[in-house]
Amino acid sequence: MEFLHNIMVSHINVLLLIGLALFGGTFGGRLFQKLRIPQVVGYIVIGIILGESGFNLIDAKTLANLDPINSFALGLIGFTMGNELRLDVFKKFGKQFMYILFYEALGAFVIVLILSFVGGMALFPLKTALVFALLFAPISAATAAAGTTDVLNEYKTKGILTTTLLGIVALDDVLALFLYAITSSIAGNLLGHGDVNLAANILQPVYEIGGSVIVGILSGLLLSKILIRYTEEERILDFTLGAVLFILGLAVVLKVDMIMSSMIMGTIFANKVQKKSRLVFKQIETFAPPIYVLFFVFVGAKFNISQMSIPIAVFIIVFLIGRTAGKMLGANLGARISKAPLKVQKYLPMCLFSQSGVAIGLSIVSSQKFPGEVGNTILIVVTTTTFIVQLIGPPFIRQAVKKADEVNKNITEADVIRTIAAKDVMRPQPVIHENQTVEQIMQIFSENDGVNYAVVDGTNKPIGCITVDSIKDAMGTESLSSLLLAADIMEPVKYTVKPDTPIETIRHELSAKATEYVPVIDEKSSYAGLIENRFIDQYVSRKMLEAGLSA
Amino acid sequence: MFAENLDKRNIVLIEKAEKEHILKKLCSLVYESGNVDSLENLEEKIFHRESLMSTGIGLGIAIPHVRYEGVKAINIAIAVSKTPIARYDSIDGKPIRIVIMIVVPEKNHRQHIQILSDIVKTMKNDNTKEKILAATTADEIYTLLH
Repeated sequence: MEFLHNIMVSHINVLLLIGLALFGGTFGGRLFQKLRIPQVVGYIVIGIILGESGFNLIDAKTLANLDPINSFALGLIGFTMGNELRLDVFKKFGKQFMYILFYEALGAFVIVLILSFVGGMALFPLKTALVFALLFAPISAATAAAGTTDVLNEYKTKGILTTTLLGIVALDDVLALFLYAITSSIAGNLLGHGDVNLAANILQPVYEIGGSVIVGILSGLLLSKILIRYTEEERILDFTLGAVLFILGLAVVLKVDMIMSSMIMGTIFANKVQKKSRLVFKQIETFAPPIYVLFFVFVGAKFNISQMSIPIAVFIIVFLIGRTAGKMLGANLGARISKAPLKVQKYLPMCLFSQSGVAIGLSIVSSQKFPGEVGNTILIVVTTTTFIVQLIGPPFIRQAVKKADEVNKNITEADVIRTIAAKDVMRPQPVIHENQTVEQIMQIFSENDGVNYAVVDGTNKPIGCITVDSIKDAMGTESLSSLLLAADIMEPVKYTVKPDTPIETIRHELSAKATEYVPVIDEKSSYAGLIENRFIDQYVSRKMLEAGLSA
Repeated sequence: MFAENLDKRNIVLIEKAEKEHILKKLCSLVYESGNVDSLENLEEKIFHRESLMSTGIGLGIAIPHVRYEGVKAINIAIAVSKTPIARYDSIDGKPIRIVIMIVVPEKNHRQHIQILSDIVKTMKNDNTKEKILAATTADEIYTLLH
């Protein structure tokens, strides 16, 4: 077994690894989706199998090398979240967001602070227990966008719960950074670190947040200015991805927050060029899934069961319980005080478990600022709890949005088309028989509102179609109108479809054959109805409108 | 449009013939020009069209016509029968003397209508029609129509 492992690992290169992670992750996601568990959980499980706790194909060193992919995923998540922070939404729900945000973040902070201190006292001296509590508490305030947006996208949610959740998730990281700045400074003083002073620690997040906002605003304005000139979809995607990568790199150089920079860029862009931004975010939605899959596979791969010890296990339990209770109680209280809709009060508390980017980032900072047992414990506890909440968080979000009736409300044209077949769209238009004269055909045109009619033979099988154009040509020559039959002026049928043929296939065929219509036939090859491109458009628009109204 | 698509070799004078015979003769002429994929297919299309409604448009004239995928180029063929064809089921019930067959590629919908219209206009001229009926050679008819 060891021999086999050595052969595999020594021959594995980064490309092979990414391929394996992407394939495995997608497969795992699909498998879990079939079990009605959000795909994210599947990605993470595959990550564990591939990672240090499994076959060790992805070790810590490789994971460090693959970190740019994680940053890219977080950048894309941040950018798409920016789209949710539209000015009109913020104006409408801003007050509500702020109340819930403060209560849920501070709820987790306070309860984790108390529980970590109490739990720590049983294992460490009083001062060390307090240091642990001061470092764990702010980290618990952050909620991850990754793992939240993914589930919302998968279930196509839309509504007040979704909007509130996205707003909270986007903003509580800021609060976590500020709280960490204050408490880590106190912790540093308690441990007697000379280089840690309160003023510098408070200024650091001020710079980090302020810098992110400035970088985000400038990039957002620049991106809007560039994209407004272009209409080619490929070029627009190139520019957008370029902008996201550029801003991530810039954030690293300037030591400001990556997610927040890209989120502000997304917000500025979404509010500045509203129409074009819809296309851009749709493109990102199509492009990003493989990057997200890799991100979550790597989350799973980071989990290392061999690092467990009693103090770590205690802190994991304390952190999980404290954070979950604090966030649930806080969110509920905040929602009640701000008089948020009942479904926000009821279900938002179930949606705030995810943690990743900022929490892991702060734990890494802690491990550097407080090297030794304190730093290492914090790093392992946060990494492990991240892994656990990323596993349990998504199913809870799924349950909450389902109960709040927000699933499948954010549907796009492509989503509707994917789910419908010929029978949903076809109309039982009258038919023209092949031996009917132009005069009789004109009668049919004048009595009905169609522009295309199927022509059938004696057995009711569609053999052609008469369009407004074909009848127009025949009408121009008056002397022929009683001599010409449907069979003479029809366009022969290029293909037919069955009632269960997917509309996606039909759309593709209509475009490939440069035609506007297709007759539908039943199992006996008899005419069952007609589909025109405009029937599909009308059906899709109606469905999207219905979904929009009920959201 | 009518005259320019007419080939001298596609004009035939017949002493006496039944509807089926004369249609088959014209199909053969069109087929021999090399512009249709198969004789059987052409005959099937022509006779199917006749089964839907007779192409005998009255005044002694019939215009069997088809448009379908197996045709490479527009073809016109004319048969003039010395003896009137009584059983053509023409619209006015009168026997037929002149049969003009039009075979058009599927994409030439407009030309199809245009040629039909040209033929009807030409044949409405009694003088031209009489001269065609009086002609003794295909050359004469060809010259008359050009």
